[in-house]
Amino acid sequence: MTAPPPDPSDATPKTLISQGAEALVYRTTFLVPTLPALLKHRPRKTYRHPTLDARLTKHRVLSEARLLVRARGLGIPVPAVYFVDEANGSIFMEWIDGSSVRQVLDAILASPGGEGKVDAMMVRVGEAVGRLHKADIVHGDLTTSNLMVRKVGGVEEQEGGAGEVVLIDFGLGQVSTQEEDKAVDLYVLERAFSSTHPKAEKLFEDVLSAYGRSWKGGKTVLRRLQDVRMRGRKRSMLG
Amino acid sequence: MTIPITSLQLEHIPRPHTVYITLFKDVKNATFLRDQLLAGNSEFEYAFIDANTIISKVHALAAAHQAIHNLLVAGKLRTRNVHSETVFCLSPNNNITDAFKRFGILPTTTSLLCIKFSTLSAPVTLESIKSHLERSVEGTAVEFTDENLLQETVVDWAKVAKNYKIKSDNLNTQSLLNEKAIGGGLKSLEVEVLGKLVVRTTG
Amino acid sequence: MIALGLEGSANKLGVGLIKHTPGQPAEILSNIRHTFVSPPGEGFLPKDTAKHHRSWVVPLIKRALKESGTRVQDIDCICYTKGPGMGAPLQSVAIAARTLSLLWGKPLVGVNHCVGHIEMGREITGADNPVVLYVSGGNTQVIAYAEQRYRIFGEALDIAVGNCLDRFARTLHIPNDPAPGYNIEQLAKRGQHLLDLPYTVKGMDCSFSGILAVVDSLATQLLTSHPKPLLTPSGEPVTKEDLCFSLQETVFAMLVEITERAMAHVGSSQVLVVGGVGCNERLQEMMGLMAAQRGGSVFATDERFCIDNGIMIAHAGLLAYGEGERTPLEGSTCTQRFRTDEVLVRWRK
Repeated sequence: MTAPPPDPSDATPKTLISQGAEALVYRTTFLVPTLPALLKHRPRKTYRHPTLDARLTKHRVLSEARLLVRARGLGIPVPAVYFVDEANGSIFMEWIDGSSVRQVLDAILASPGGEGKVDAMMVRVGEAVGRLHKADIVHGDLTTSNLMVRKVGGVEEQEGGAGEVVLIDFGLGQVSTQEEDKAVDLYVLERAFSSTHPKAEKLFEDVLSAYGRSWKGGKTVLRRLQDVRMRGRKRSMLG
Repeated sequence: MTIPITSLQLEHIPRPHTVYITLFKDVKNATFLRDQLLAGNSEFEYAFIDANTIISKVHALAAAHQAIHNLLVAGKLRTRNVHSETVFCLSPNNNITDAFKRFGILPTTTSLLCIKFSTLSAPVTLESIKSHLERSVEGTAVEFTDENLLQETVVDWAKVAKNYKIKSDNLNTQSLLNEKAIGGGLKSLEVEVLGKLVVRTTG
Repeated sequence: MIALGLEGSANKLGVGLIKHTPGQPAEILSNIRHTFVSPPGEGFLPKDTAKHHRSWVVPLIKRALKESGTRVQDIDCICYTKGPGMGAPLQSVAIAARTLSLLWGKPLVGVNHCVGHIEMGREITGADNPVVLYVSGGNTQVIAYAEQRYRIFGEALDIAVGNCLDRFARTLHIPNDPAPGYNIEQLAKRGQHLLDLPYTVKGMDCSFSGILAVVDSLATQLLTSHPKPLLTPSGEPVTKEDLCFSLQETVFAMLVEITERAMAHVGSSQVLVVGGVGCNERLQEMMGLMAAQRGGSVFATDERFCIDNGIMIAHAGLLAYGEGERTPLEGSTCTQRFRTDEVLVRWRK
């Protein structure tokens, strides 16, 4: 992948690691060459009016950074924020050394009898989402790619994702006390599980039961999830 | 005598900009140094920081980085220059006077962190800073390291807790020394402090 | 194979004749349309629209046959819009289709209006497997094909983007002739100031009711200068043109954003814009800039195919007919609600 660096006068090396719809993500360093960091940069969208573009980018960068700091301050496993440059659309944050839950699942489920090895990881996923919701933060885009597992002692995939589960990418996140929003968060994650890991569909029950145990309002949100499932995205629309 | 000066080019800051940092303990002329700042003596354009309020290198560098960033982005500087900005950027709130009271040099200061930038409009050399500091600061210079910040110039943990509103039972030198940062990142206290600084900038 | 297509789900009555020859591009024999235009400040009511369709359907079909030199015995099937759309206009056209089916002894094929747009857009532009943005007076959907269905990845959570534009045009007394959206587009070209309007995107979904409420009240203020004249933050008077410009820039940015997110999600770099709002050249330009940033390209059609028409119904219907689909007379109903993803797309791999 090739993409322009966020700032041409910036000589610090950075490696593009992903290109989403909204942001470019780089591996780089912060302050000193020995401190690894992740740079999430929202480039200018040339299709948008410059005034509107600047307004949206600033709003989203600030909102994402605030959510991350808030979550981290409450002990929820999310990357630490190092520095925010809202005018340029950049956030520097902690580099999480590890793999996504998606990669761990793909690696483990490829081996026979792999399902048994990831139970503990599923529980930690459920607990992490539970703690987020307890704090009235909804993620907005929970997928197995947006859940990381920290590397423990250099090997993660073989160990069944033994490390801490970290929630990343709060670009669509928001503060909400609504059970509906929390249930939709779970529903999105459920769909991500079933579409990306058909073999792991059963494992999602472990996620949900851990979620239900992890905080007081968990059970209510799980009941609400039933409604959301029934409804799905099948809203009829007048033509 | 010759004093150790750390010279750094902060990551992501355009190359010609350099930051020079010296740490002093047993400083005896804090009143004189502070008076020079208050009088606006241009020879004393430094960020003079009470080192007892600084928990680590990263803590100080984060403020210096924010300050030089503010200098380089038009209209972002909140104080007179990049050096006063560095002191301001240590603060978790937007009150400039308060920032100087909490983090700046006071007549009682004995541990002093001196930060000086070489910028495009005001380039300075390491030699000139070195000789000026040697002449001006009555104290013992030590290397700018995490260990020296914790053990030589000593952290005032009560102040740190108050400045950043941190509630923790193990807010002490030993627990910071013992903690092993995960994956080459920061220690939990550094993350907490940087978070407070980010919150100020994100409003 | 030749199909006759009848479309009347909203205020356009369209008649089309299409010919499919294996291994060749579809041949458009006729594609004509008559639009029911309501006076400025008014929308089109179902009752009046249905009456318009009833009175025009026979002359239009006759003209299509005559112009193209098509004989009734050459026609293989009669395709009509089953839905979604407005009830009374849909019914009036369904009745016409049934009558012809009985009169001529030809099988019927009921067609999903949205699928008609998508298939015609693919046929005309040659876009093979694009993410589709379907934007019209009644629909706002981001669609991608997977496993025999056009799946809806994102959509408007309340009113459709075209509905938002039409209603705004009414408030500002912008004429409905030839179309409110077209007139807004022309005014927007002379807009100078971008006003701050609500921007509501949630993942791949979006919402237009909030922005409509705000821009509507601004329009009222502009017309009445009540409670005070409408000024920009810098103190200059706001014009009609500024309002049209601001509304277009904001709602189109929302549409491009949800489309881009869907493209990133499914890993596609092609985008196809269909539906009446898809005619808008500013929307096409913005979509093109986005697609270029992603190393892809935008596909769009002109008003002959973007705006509701009979040819797309004939085309999509004939694709289904080719796979053996027939709509029996007793099943030849229509429905106001008919989701794009309900259709089993047999003709695609």
